[in-house]
Amino acid sequence: MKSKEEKKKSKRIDSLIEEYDKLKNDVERAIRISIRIKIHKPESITDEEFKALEKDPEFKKMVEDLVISYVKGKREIEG
Amino acid sequence: MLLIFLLTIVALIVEKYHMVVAAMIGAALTIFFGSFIYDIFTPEEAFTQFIDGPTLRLVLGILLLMEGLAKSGLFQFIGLWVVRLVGNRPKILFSAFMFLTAILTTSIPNLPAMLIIGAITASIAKSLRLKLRTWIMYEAIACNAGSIGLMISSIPNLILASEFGFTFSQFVRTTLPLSLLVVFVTTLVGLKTANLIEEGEGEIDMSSLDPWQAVKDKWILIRSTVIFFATITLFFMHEKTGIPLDVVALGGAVIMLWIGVTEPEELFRSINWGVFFFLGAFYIIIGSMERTGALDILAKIVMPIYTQHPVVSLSATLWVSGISSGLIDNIPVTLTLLPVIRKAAETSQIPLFKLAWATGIGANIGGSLTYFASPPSVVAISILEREDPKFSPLDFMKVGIPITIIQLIVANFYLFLWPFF
Repeated sequence: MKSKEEKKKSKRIDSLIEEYDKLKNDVERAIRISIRIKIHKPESITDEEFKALEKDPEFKKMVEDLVISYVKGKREIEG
Repeated sequence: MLLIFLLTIVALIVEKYHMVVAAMIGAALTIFFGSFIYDIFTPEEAFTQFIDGPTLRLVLGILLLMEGLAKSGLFQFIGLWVVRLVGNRPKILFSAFMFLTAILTTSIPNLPAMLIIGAITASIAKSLRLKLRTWIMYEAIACNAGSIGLMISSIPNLILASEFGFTFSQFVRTTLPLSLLVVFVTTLVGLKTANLIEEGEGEIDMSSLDPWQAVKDKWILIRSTVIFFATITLFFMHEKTGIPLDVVALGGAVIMLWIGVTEPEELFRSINWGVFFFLGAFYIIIGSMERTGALDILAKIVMPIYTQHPVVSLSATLWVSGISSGLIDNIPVTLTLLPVIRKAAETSQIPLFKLAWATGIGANIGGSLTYFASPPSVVAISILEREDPKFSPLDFMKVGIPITIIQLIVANFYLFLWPFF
């Protein structure tokens, strides 16, 4: 169990990290364009399984491949 | 009063309460005993005479100005421009980032400075295969070293300027060269001893990078940079114009709020308001110690150091300030040491102003000693705990302790050899 003071301290660290993430996103966008999409958890999988995807390089690679094939397919349809 | 002071210091060390709360409890107890039990001073005197108004106004103006500049995107632009220029040459990039970090800290508060440089480094680390842990830890140390640089670079420096009348140009002549020297030595240590790159190949060619993409509004960037440097010019001309420093700082801050930022509310949100309550509370504790003579007792304890050879007394001031600032925040260290050395200097062979410089320099360098002593170190730890699962805060101290000792040795020699003090 975290004490009250530890909780307050981790809250301060959280706000620091929030600011860091915002800055990092801005910089990353300047280095390499990226997009952010919110995906809701499907019913059939657990919270842990779903959250683990965020740090799963294989999953990231599959999504990137999907982006390429989707956009290419769309281009072909639109001529 | 001495007991209240010691209890406040203990509370700051053990971090049981937030540092501002600890100082305010200390100030409340001081007023209670000093005014209502022993009748030594009135509460009005505590608020109007003990609290140093010009210092608080100077800190307020500078923080508003610096936060305005930090929000402009100028340093993200410069950082990415350096990355594009240097590309995949880790040693040159490391050296450039160390000096960029120090320059950044001389111009904006060290917390956003570390956040900005940390975010840039983490963004390019994977592409250039940089060993993020090494880079972030060394950047935090460079941040603390950069804080020595200018009058506006840290709160201890602003306290020195306000209490001893040190001018902006005096800081440029005395502490700025030391700051650059310390960063140079730290960079050499990093290049010689640290592992800067991970195994493998980089992913992206940085020569196509567009630094302007990190800037949201070019006009805001230009306006806030002009306002900032115009205010710095007025600081430089302070002796000629005679305009008090706090008036210059607040004037610049008003213009920054007026035309330098898009949203003043955002600027107000990023200011660390706690620092003003902390300064006010600690001034009350120190002021009451001065009034009651408790400070004389402290001065008597340290007096044997100041009756020694000048080399011993000056070195002791630097090291005591440095090591204490590694254990607690450098603001209470500076506020406590300055009146003590003021009294002790009466018997010392060293001029008071030199002892004051030693206190300020030690207070800034000491922040790298531990992972909890300064905002850049705390930011570095937070970034690394997020980005590097194997990182432990103790890893910071393995690098921080030896480098702080090296930096204090360099500063020690500098204090004796640099002719412009």
